[in-house]
Amino acid sequence: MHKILSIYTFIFLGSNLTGQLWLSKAATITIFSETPLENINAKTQNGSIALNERSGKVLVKMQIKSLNFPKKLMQEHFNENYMESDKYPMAEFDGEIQNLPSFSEQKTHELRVKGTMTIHGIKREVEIPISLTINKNKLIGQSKFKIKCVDYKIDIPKLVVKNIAEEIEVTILAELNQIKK
Amino acid sequence: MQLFKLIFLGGFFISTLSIMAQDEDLSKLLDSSITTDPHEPVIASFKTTRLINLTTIEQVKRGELDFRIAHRFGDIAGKSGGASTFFGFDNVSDIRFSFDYGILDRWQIGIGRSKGGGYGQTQVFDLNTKVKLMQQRKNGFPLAISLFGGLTFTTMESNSLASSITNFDRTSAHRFNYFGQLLFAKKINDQFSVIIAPTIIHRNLVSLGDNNIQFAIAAGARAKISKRVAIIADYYHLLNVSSFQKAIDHQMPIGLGLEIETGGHVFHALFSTNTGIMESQFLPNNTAKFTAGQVRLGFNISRIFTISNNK
Repeated sequence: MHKILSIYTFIFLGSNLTGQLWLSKAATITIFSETPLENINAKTQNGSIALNERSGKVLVKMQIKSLNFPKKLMQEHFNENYMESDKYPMAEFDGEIQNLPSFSEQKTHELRVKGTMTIHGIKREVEIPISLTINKNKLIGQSKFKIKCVDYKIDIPKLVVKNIAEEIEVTILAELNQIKK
Repeated sequence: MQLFKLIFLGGFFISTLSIMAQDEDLSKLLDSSITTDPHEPVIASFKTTRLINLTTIEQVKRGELDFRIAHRFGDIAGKSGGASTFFGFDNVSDIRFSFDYGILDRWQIGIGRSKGGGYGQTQVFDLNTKVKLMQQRKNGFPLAISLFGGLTFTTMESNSLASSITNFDRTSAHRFNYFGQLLFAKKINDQFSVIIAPTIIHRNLVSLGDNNIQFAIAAGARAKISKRVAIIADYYHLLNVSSFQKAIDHQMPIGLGLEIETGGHVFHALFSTNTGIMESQFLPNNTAKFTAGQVRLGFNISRIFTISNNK
């Protein structure tokens, strides 16, 4: 009985003490849209992603102003007029992996993550696909999805509607490292 | 066995709690990984490099080219305005084409050509440059400070009359004028920005009783009324008004306009009292009198082209 209890205690409490949290401070996040007149592309390498392998919780945060555009005027307009990034400085995602894999299986898993996306101060329930490669001491996460400007109340004036696509493709690539407590 | 079940369930509960606690840790972990700049630069104090007459602290970014057309029509009312000239539309007071290029984010150079605003010199070329000295920052330096300066020269034919203001026979240096400004600007909030600019002008050739060197204070403001539309205004006050300027009843230049931004273009629909566009023209020589209806419509168009992409 004592043996069973101690094993049990070891498994449930002991295992909680070893790290199950994963973090990336330098996720690459790009946005891209194509229109007849002008391609819009921007990139940051300062995205933050955290993952709890036991609960399947995934958190993503990105500073809007960290997105770097090749066209600086576009960057200024993006921050000032479209994203209003002084008012809404962050884009966030707070979700849970629906088909949580066993992290002992070192291979690539195709996962669905359901949760709340917050952009431009607007919260929406979304599901995004993640391809997660589990290695011994790092995770490689990849994701590609589209967001609609209208869903997040990002106004595109009629005058420039041809210059700006109404859908923006978002790509995320991150290497997550285990956090030892 | 009963005890075992209890411990088992209790343990399960605790471990569930600990997973929830971990999710809280996860959130803290994420937040701690984000470093925000507490002194981030204040951007977009003004939408473009110029208000109506006054330049702003905004610059063309590195590798970008700003092509501008500025146009001033004739007097709306008064003796040369009214219905017979369709309220000034039939006349062109001044028109200027210019190219400004950003060598660095903090340094731009420009070249322009204007008709000349009816103040003696016409066919005016100009070279100018703007340097950003200080950047306004949140919780940091409270102002933006820039230096703007340049020269104009005329390619017009010299008037053979020795007393003429456009006789350049003695020296071609008389074709040159210079201007310099120190720009102090502040974006007060998301909607409102102001700028004050001590100004110096040097003209090599002036009329009898006029000053070669003149000082002025310029002030301007931009107030956004929607995301893409703003009201802009500026005013120049000449400090050392010469006896010649008193004799010709010199007037201070005033501009008021509507600024509309449409992505790569910025469009100004404006009223100005002065007829000229360049600093060394409208500041010392303006005689257009607001109260006599000598105010005009005008427009500025700015189009940005990206010449070289910078990463």
